Amino acid sequence: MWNQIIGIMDRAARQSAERIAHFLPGVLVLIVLLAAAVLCSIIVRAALLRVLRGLNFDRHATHSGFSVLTEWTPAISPSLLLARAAQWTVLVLGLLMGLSALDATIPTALALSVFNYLPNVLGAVVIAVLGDLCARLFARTVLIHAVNMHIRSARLLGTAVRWLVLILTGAMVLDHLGIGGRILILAFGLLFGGIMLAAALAVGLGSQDAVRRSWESRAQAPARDRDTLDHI
Amino acid sequence: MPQTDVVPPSDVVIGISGIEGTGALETGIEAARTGIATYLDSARTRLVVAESEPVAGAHEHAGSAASARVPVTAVAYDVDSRDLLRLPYHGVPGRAHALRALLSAARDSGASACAVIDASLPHGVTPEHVRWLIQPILDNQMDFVTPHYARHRAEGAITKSILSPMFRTVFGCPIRQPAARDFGCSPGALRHLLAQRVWDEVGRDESVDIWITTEAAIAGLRICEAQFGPARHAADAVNLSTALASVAGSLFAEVERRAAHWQRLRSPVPVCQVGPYAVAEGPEPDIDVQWLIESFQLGFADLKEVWSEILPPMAVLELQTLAHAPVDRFRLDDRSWARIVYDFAVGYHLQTIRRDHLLGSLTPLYLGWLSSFVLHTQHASAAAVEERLEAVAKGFETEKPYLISRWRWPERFRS
Repeated sequence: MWNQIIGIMDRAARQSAERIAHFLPGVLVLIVLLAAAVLCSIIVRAALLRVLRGLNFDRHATHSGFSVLTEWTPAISPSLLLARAAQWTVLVLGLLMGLSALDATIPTALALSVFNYLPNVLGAVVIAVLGDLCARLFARTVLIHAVNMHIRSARLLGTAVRWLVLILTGAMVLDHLGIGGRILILAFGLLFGGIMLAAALAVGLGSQDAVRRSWESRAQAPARDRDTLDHI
Repeated sequence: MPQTDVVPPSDVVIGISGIEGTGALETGIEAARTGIATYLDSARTRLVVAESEPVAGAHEHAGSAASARVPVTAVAYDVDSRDLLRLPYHGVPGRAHALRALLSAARDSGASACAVIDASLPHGVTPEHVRWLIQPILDNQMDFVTPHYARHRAEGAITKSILSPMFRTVFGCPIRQPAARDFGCSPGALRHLLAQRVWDEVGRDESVDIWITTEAAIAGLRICEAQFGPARHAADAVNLSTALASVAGSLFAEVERRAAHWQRLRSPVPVCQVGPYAVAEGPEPDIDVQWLIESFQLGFADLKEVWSEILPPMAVLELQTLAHAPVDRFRLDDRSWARIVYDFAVGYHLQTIRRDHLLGSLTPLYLGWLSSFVLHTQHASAAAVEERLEAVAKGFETEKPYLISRWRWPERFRS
């Protein structure tokens, strides 16, 4: 019996040693990959920062309406923000590669699912950035045109356009990430439809007289709104 | 491409362009024939009409028997489909190609002088056009003749407030209508203009008039300004903000393109003037000053953030004071106005914000200037209005060092 116990313990110790021996190279690879990732991320960050500053990216980003980057983090310049984002991306990729090297089922499955999900995240980021750019562009275009048309609620119109585009963008981002599913589409439809219905009711019932007066005065006094001067 | 007639050798070519199918071309041809018969040698003069689809001999027998002796040649020009998508402020798509066709015809005929007249303008073609656009070239050896039409004080206010003073200061050429659609030119000017490779650029239709005048000024051609009688009033082909964006954008583009040249120029060189002194006739158009001021105030309330990206903080403060000023003290200082226009030119160059937004946001400021100008000249005589405009131009000249500084070191002015 004693021999049996010794045998089992010996087998268990051998198996444990084998497992540790099998696991240790993976840990070593993980450490090496992590170190390489840290090194790579520092290099990528420094190189990207240098290139972006060389291209005067901060000024171009602000001028081309990319102010979203500075508004999110006012203390950090757009080039530094992009460089940091690239650094963290490299670090996370290194960590996921390291976890796969461990040959453990759960980390590998996690790494695989993260890798599979990554295109969705990247697509969502692109949609969000483009949506924000479009929202600002449309809002400012509407604002300027409305002011030039002498519309008193120009700022309100601009803000409304901006939020409509942002809501649409938000819905598209969540849909792209697969968050919310049907509830999201339903909620978006309800929200959008609700806004339109509220606006229609407000104009049709609440502001009926004001709208009629506005149209009547427009028809009766064309010279005030329509410019007849030869400006050039 | 439609068939084009060959223009026979002639001493003088009178080119006519305009919107086809409205009868303006036919009326213009008849007036030009009368002018040729009165002031030029009919046998050695040729009328050339630019048409997108010319019919050979279609204009030969038009008009009275006396004037029909002046032959008419039709030259074709193509209208790019892209030109049709955007109506230029003058309302003539394909105008750049039409002008090139007319100038090429004049050059090929070996003409000693050429005049190009836009028949679609409300004042149309008059015999005096033929006289004053051609005679300075034949008699005074001028290279380029540009017209000036007598107009009421508030008419042509974009030209008076931005175009003329900035053109005069930046390009050193004190002419009063740099975007005029009629002009006369010598063989040297013809060759110079046709040699430039810009005729096919997208958007050239709306900037071609300013470009031609700028090219004449920059090339050192001898420029002459011809005074014409009162211009008939007509609203612009497009709305105010589109027209302003188009004209100011064209000017700013020329300023950007010629930056190396104008930074070396000192004071404007006077140009020769011909033609009788004329003042505007008929009733002055109604101007609702209160509405103009309200437009400016509305612009300040809603576009302050946009202006803050273009103008230095001090300029925004000045505008704030103006926006809260009562009507009797509503005055936009000439030098402040000049700096604002220069700031917009620099913003256009640096693309501080999108160019269409920048030009669109200029409209309320322009209306602010217009209301200040109208209030300032409410009971002024024609001579006093001219003096006021001269003061505006002097403001631009005084502030030219500011433009140069901002152009070279834009970041200095941000705080």
